Amino acid sequence: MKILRLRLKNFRGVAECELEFLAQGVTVIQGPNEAGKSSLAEAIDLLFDFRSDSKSRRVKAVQPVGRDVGSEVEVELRAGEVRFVYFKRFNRDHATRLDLLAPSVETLVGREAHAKANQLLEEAMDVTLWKALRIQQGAGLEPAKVHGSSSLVAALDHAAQSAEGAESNADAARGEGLFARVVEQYERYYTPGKGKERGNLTAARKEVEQLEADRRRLAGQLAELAAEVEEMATLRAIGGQLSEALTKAESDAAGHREGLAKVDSMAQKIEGLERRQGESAEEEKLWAQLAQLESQQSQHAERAVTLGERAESAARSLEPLEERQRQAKDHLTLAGEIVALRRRDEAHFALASQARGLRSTAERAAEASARVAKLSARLAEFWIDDERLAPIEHAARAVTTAEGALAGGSPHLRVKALADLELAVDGETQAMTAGEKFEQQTANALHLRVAEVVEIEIEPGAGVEELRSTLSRRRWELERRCSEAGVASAREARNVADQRRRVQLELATAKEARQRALDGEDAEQIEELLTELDGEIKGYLDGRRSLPAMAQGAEAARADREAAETSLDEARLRLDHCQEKLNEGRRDHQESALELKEAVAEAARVEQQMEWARGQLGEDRFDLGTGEGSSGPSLAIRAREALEAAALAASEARQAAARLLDEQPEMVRVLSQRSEEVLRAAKEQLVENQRRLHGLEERLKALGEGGLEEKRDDARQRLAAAIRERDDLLRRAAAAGALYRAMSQAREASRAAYHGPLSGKIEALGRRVFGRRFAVELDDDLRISRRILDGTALPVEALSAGAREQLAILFRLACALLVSQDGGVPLILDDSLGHADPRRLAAMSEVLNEVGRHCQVLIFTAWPDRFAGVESARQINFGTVDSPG
Amino acid sequence: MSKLSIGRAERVRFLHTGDWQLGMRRYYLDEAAQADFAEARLAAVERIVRLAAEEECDFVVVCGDVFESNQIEAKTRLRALEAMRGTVPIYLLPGNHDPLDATAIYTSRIFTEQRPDNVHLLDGRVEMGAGVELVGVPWRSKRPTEDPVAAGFSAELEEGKLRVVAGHGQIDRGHPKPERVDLIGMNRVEAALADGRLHYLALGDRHSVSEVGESGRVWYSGSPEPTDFVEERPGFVLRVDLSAAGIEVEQRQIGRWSFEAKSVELMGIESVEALATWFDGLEDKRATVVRLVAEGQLTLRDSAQLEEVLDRNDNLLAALDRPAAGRWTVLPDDVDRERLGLEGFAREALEELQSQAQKEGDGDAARDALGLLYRLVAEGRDRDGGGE
Repeated sequence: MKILRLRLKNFRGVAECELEFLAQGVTVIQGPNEAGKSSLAEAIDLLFDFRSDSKSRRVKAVQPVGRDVGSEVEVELRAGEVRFVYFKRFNRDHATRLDLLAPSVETLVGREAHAKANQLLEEAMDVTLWKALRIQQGAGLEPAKVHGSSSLVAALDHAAQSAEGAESNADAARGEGLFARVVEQYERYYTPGKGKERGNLTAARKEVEQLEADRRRLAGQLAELAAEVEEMATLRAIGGQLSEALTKAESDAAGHREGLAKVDSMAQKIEGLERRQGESAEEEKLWAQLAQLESQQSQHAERAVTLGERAESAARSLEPLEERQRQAKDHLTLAGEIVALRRRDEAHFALASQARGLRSTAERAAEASARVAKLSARLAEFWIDDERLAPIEHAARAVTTAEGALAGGSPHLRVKALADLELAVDGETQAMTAGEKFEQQTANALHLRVAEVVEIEIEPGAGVEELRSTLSRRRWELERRCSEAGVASAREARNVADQRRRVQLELATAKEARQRALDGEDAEQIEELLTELDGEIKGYLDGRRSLPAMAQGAEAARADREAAETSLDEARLRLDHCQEKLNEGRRDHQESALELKEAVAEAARVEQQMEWARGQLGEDRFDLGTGEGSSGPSLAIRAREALEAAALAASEARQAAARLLDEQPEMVRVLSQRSEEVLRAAKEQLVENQRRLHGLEERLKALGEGGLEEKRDDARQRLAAAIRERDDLLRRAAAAGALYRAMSQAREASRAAYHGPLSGKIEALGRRVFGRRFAVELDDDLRISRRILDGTALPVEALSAGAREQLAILFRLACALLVSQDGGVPLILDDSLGHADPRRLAAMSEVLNEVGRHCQVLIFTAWPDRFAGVESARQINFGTVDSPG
Repeated sequence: MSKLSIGRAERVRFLHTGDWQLGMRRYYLDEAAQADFAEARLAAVERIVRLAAEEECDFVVVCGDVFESNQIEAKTRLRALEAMRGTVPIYLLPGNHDPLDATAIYTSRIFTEQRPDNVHLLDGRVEMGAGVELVGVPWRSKRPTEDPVAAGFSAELEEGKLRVVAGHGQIDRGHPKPERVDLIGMNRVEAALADGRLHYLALGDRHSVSEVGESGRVWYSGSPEPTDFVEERPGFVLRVDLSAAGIEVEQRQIGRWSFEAKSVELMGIESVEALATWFDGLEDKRATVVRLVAEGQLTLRDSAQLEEVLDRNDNLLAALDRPAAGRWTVLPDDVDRERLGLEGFAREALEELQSQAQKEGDGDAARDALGLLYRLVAEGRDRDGGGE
């Protein structure tokens, strides 16, 4: 942005003036002190910062003293394409007007004008940088706060990465603004600088720990409570057991007490009995003796009666036994007889069977003999046997031989018809067809005639005759033999001989059969035996008694016999048994007779003893008379009663003593004592158990109503919420931290890149002032921290006021140079370099000259020559109030 | 009221409920939501009391876990007892959460001295007028050593009488396990039903209403208000009409709250919008607890949109539980980068964070930092009055 023109009216001491500035280059506005130079800079500030109707003290202060008039400020500005005139009248008749000149023409007034102007200014320049770069009178020594300046940062960025194409001003502004918000986020959780966790994080952690401790404490109490509930249940169970044990101990003790009492009473009783027994020992002995004897006597008497009865009974019981034994014997005899009968029956059937067998043999033998006789008779019918046949066979063979010889010697005739013809042989005619043959051998003459054509005679020779005669002889011989044998021919002879041979064979077979049937026996002997057997059988049958009936057949007979034998065995056994019983009965009888005898003897012996005892007792003390009517019996009874009583006492004492011994009185005493101790202990334990139970019950009741579990759950719930919050917080903190670190690292890296261009510019300008060995160090906020000159580094604070001012101006100039292009702002120096020596001033002038080539510089000064060294500068004299330059 | 006739039971009507778990806390509920939750449960009890009167029930039996614990605060006890005040007798059976041990609520002073007249501890047999007996088998410790109901129906029953047994515990489904003596033996139950020693077994412990077996006479009523995400069908009580002729069991809705566990895979703006639609579709949001497990990956702008959706519903719902385990990851894409419009060192920082964010595990902070960056840029734009 460039300020092209400035007009003031009624502004502090300035009545009216209008100044025009070089858009590029240095304009020096020179005037004496209090000429109102500072009003110029102030007017620009007011125009930009305050509305025309502002009642601010600063606004009111610009009204000329003593004059109620409006103070007017008008500025013509250019930023890139945009050009406008901005006018305000403050205080009296306040007004705002904006005349847009380019690129379009428009006029706005009032608030609208103010808003539009602000917008244009903000778009056109970096307001922060504008303010930072201004050095006002007296305030110029402070290092410029260019930190947040977007133009500067953009310029620096541009300078740092000029090759890559810089980001726009807006982007850079956004980057810095964003970083500021990131820092704000970060510092919610961490301290700046060291990055320690802030109280909110530690508090969140602490809260979780606290709540966790609460929860643990409550859970612990709850666990204790649960353990006590458990203990309570255990105590109750133990209490039950103890009650049972107590009941048992009580019952045991009572039992033992009773036992002890019993033992004591028994001992007393024994004592009494023993005393009584001792006092009447003598008397009792006598009573006892007599009583015993009497009792014995009566026992013996009774026994004798019993034994007598028994002996009698034994004798009586013998009779049936004997009877039964007899019966058994009879039975046995009978069974023996039946067995014998059955055996005979069986033998009879064996004989009958034998007889049947023999009869069958005899019949078969007779049959075979009849056949032999018949075949022998038949044999006579066939008279030619082999002996007679032989000469006939011989003669027959001779005939055959002769016939053969004759046949061999006879002519052989063969005729073949050449056409159909009739052939007559020895007068016998036969028809022949062409090709038919006729053949004949002949020993005789033969007459042949063929049709009516030819007759043929055939005569045999001499040899044939001889052969014929031989044949005749032989035939005769054969006939003779046959007639001798009584047959017509050799054939018949052979037939007869054959039949004879067959009959002979059958005969031999029949003879053999007969032999087999007899089996080496003689047929007559068999007959004899058979007769004998038949007689025997008949005799048995006739002689056998009718009952028991005989069995039908051998099998049945055998079964009957076996049954009879079994019966016999049984009968034998029965007899043995009866015999044994009888023997026993006899023994009993003998024994009881013997016992009776003994008892009688014993009774006698007791009687003797009684006699003796009575004698001992003496008649003066005891009337033991036996008379029925006397007082004896009652005395005897009394005596016996006394005797019995004494005996009873003694016996009771003995029994009691024995029982007492059984009771183990010492043991009873020890046990009783122990059971009393157990009882006491059980009572104590139960009381203790109940005491603890009661205490615990009260405690648990109170604790149970304390709502411990709900409290624990509540703590758990609060803990969960705290954990959620803490984790959420930690998460946000971690995010803010990560973002901050990433961003500040990137920013630092970019800052480091900015340092170079800025310090380079400062040093390039500064070397003209401080010499070639001048250098500066910039801090993180891009402020000059140290100046290095000739190898000596000094912090800025240690420098002289002049040097500090020069450095401050150099810094601003460097910045202005860096942002001199589109983002450039006018650099206004108000009454500066007052501390500079002439050499430095000259050098600074040279620097300003250089800077003026790149941006607009406005210098207000009271010293006409101070900036004479700025050769390119346009000099404007700013005169008195009433006389503008 | 359906009066029982003298001598023989003609008909009995009662409400079967259980597992009220009064005094229960849920760690994922914040303080206000927890208060609402507790209030809702008391209101459910009051509805049950009213329902019992309206339906002319003879009694109400609560089958165990009436209270979350024996160690609950006096305020909870008193409020619970007050909620039960009414005309119909209510029988409370101690369960595994509130056993009849040394610290039992039922023997505490508050209960014995301040309970309303219609509220009774159920321990053993109660004659409900002639002809019907109600038998409760309470838990006496947290570790029972025998079948938790069998004692209720072991005794023979007079001809013509009806027996309702109330118990608490898990069933063995007819397959007894020797190591689990604390299970309800279904074989025994079936036998008792078959030989007329039992006519209805009212069970508690399971928080979902469900019938056991096929007799129609063994039921879990479930909790009247839901207590957790895993329950299948909570929110009911059972109205039971029992007579010698038969049985009729009706489910009555009591609960108003619901617990919804939602899992989503996030990818793209559509998934965010779908989730928003799902949330919008929830009825009675103030009585709905949602546990959201959202996984996947979103761009910066989609994630910002999602955060808006979640913030909105976090306010609307009774509670929105977002377990830390299931979180989507956020990675900027080119559009995000362009929209951020960062240059210079800010852009370098963005690129650095982006590369950190892609690292598995320790990239969380970087991903969150990207989200923060996105937000700060947006805020900056708002503050500058500009934006795109």
